[in-house]
Amino acid sequence: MSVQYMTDEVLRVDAWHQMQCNQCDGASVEFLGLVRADEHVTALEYDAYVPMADRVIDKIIAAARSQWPLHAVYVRHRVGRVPVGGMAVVIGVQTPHRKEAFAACQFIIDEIKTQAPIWKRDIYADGSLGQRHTCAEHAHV
Amino acid sequence: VIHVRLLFFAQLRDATEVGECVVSLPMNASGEDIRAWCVAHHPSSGPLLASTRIAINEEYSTWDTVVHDGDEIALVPPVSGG
Repeated sequence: MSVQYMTDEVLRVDAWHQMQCNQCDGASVEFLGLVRADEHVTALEYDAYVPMADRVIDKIIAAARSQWPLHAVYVRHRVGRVPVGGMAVVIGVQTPHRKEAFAACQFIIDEIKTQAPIWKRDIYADGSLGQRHTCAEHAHV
Repeated sequence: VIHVRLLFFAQLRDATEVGECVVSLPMNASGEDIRAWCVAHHPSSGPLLASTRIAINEEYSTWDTVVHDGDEIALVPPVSGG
């Protein structure tokens, strides 16, 4: 595994922006998953089966590459505690044209949400652990 | 007899209060035997297992797949990444 997509460090979108650009690409699309404010919730705690999550994300990217002409692809997903307003996931893709960039970016985040072994739960203002999120449909991000 | 490493996550970890353990199983045991072991040793995991996927050596698999000595078995409750 050459790329570690899961990280406990604060995500930086400029890390994606600084990736080498392919001058044949006319489209760059990015998705930033943010922790949304919710009643009594001050943060989300992300846990993951990290080595498998890295492998699953690698396969998702490979599947996207088989469907669309992707050049630069960037994926980082947090583990640990992310405060309201913080970034939980960054996905960036570059392609020759916009339609495949939007489609590929949507595919990657949708697959991560349903396939990657990652879990989150609420953290309340007093620091106590809140409910676990059990499916993507109820996700805060 | 074979030994596999069993990993619990999220709701399953809460229910069993176990992060991981080593389980002894007969030769040719499958995921179904692991599920039965969980219900027998951690009854609170029973209701959760219906919606849980099994991963063998970091790959999603099926409950009827035979496991082997030294395998790492992860029980993956419904995920909520993103």
